[in-house]
Amino acid sequence: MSVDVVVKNDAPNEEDWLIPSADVVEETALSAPGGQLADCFDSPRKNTTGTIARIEKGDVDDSSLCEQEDQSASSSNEDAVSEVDADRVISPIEPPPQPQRSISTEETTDALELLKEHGKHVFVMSEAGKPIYTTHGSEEDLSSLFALIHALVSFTTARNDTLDSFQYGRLTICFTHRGPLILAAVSRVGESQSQLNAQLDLVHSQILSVLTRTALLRVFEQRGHNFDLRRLLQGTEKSLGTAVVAAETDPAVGLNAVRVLPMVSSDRDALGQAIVSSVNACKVKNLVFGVIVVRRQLVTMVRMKKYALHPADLHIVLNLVACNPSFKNVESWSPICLPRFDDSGFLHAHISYISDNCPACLLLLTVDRHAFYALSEVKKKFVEKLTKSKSIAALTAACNGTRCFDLDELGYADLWHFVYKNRTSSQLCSAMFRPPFISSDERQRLIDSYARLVDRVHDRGDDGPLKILFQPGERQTLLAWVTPNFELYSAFSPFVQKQSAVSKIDRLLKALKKEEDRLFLVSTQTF
Amino acid sequence: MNESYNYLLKFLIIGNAGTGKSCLLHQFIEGEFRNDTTHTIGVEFGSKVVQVSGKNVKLQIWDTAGQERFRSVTRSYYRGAAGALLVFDVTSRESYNALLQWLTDARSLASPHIAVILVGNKKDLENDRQVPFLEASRFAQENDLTFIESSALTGENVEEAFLKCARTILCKLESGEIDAERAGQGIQFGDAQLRRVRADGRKTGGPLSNCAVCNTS
Repeated sequence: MSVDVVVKNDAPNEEDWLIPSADVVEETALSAPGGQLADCFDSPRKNTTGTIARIEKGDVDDSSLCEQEDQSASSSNEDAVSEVDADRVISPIEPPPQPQRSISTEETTDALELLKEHGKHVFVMSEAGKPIYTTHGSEEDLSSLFALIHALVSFTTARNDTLDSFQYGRLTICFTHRGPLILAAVSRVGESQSQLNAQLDLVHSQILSVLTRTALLRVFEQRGHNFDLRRLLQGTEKSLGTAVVAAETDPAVGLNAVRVLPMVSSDRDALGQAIVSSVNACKVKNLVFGVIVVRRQLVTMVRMKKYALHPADLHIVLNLVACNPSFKNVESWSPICLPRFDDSGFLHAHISYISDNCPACLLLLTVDRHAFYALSEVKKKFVEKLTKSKSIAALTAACNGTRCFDLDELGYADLWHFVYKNRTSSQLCSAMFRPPFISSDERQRLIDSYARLVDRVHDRGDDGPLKILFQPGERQTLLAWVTPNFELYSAFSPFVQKQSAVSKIDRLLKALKKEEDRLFLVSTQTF
Repeated sequence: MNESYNYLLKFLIIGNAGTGKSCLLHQFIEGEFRNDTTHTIGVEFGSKVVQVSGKNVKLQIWDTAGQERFRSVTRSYYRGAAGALLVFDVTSRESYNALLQWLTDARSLASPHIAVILVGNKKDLENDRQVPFLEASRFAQENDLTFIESSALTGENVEEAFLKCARTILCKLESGEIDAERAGQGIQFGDAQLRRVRADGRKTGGPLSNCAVCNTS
């Protein structure tokens, strides 16, 4: 049985990374555990704090680490948690049998059972090991698992090292230690380490977006390491969860690109102009971005000359709108931190839907916290202009129209699907799903294979991405094509020949080029 | 859009997260119960013109998020508010216990004369009640508040709560207890000023936009 443990040093050196698996595992498992954690699962909470206290004192107790691992490993016999058991199996010294090994509380058993139901979990905790967030289940029920993760991370940190990931079979466990937070992702759906890291990054950004990095650091400084951050994150569980789901189900998130609503370019320009002229008419200063979005797609955007909106920040905005249907009824005014733009402070967002009949949402982002009334006026003026010029009808029609590229227009039977990313503008266009991708499972499977394809193309260290990858498969043949200007990932029938696939992609690219100004936001207006 | 009104009053809705503040606002403005369960992000804004003692009164209502992390944002909207609905959930002792903190905030940040209506929401959930009517009523008396129990679900007493608050303010104005000309109270007199403000695109933050009394009808 082999276990790959990748431990990353501060000064990474490709060869040094790969410490022979036994090393680390042996260390954790060497000393036979004492009985002091035997009551671990009787009162998981108490135990968590116990562990924290020990680590804060600085003497990380190897035996306790080992035993925790052992305990949770023994808690289930298969799947996610038991995979850790593998570490135990190869440990040279078998710990003595313990009378209280089995899980004694029903809640913990249920909680660990729950882990098996899902393919992936994300955990967030404070540096002191206090649970902050878990994608499934409640933090309390899983506190023993939080303690285990915390112990693993602290163990390496205490040795001036960084724990990056574990790999065991199909199970990948990634860790990220950032600022006052520790994040971990456990996946057995075949996601790669870099994908999981990107998703942890996303969760981290989501947390920053409601607190700012400055406030996050300050709160632990002022209220102590034991502060329960959940108090401040109350109400954001949903948006954290949907951000993770979006990362799994929408290739745009993983590719760091934004989907754009297909729309006649003159109509799109009219919207941008209407925002700019409304802003000018109301003499509003300090507006940084004006964005119109609909269903996780960008319609148009205007911005202050000096600033650009990073796709990762835009995804935070899209996620905010997608998670809060309550914006539909009223005008809202909310602080939002866009970490790529500035992670130390808030922008203030005026959020409102354009009209009752139009599903598009307008966001006006400013640095002035008192600008609500001014922006409310801008919005009114903007809607007036749209109504007068009939642009509102064009916008509504576009919102209700096709959201993707229709491959039927090209008429290639064996080109099944594609995802195209414009690398200069970080915008994305994909094909409408069509047979054989009918059920959501089949679609998800395709998206997963794209993700692996992206990984294969890009994850090549200093060599840079592959240019073309043709990958015949049983279910479908995948073709990736990467140039400095674009990335294209496509799925063909398994019977396609390389030559024919390439020539079809060639023609697809021409078709995309021809429709560029309908499918993409070609220019953004500034003020 | 250009409803005419005699008075413009700025209202706040405050109280712990999950007490039903947004649902009260939605019930008041749209006349229906909002079924989605999302928390308010930041503050939400709504307005409605109502008839109070023969006058048209426009209520400009700020519905604030109850969560702790929004406290600093929502606090900046207290200034100059003429009235507030202080909401707790009759099925949550915790939300009741937090009332004093909210009240102190409102009186110190908005104005000591702010008209506060204590609203015990979710009265339809009689079986889960944790706060007896009498207890809350006593709290209201001790703190000089008007108390009403409502249900955003059924709509019972929702409009009454807002109207009661508006009526209290108008009474105070007419009896001279509140002086609309004294800027310190965030209340401004006069249609001329208000028109200028409106033409200006409604200036922000300042007392002008908060509680203005005007004769635009």
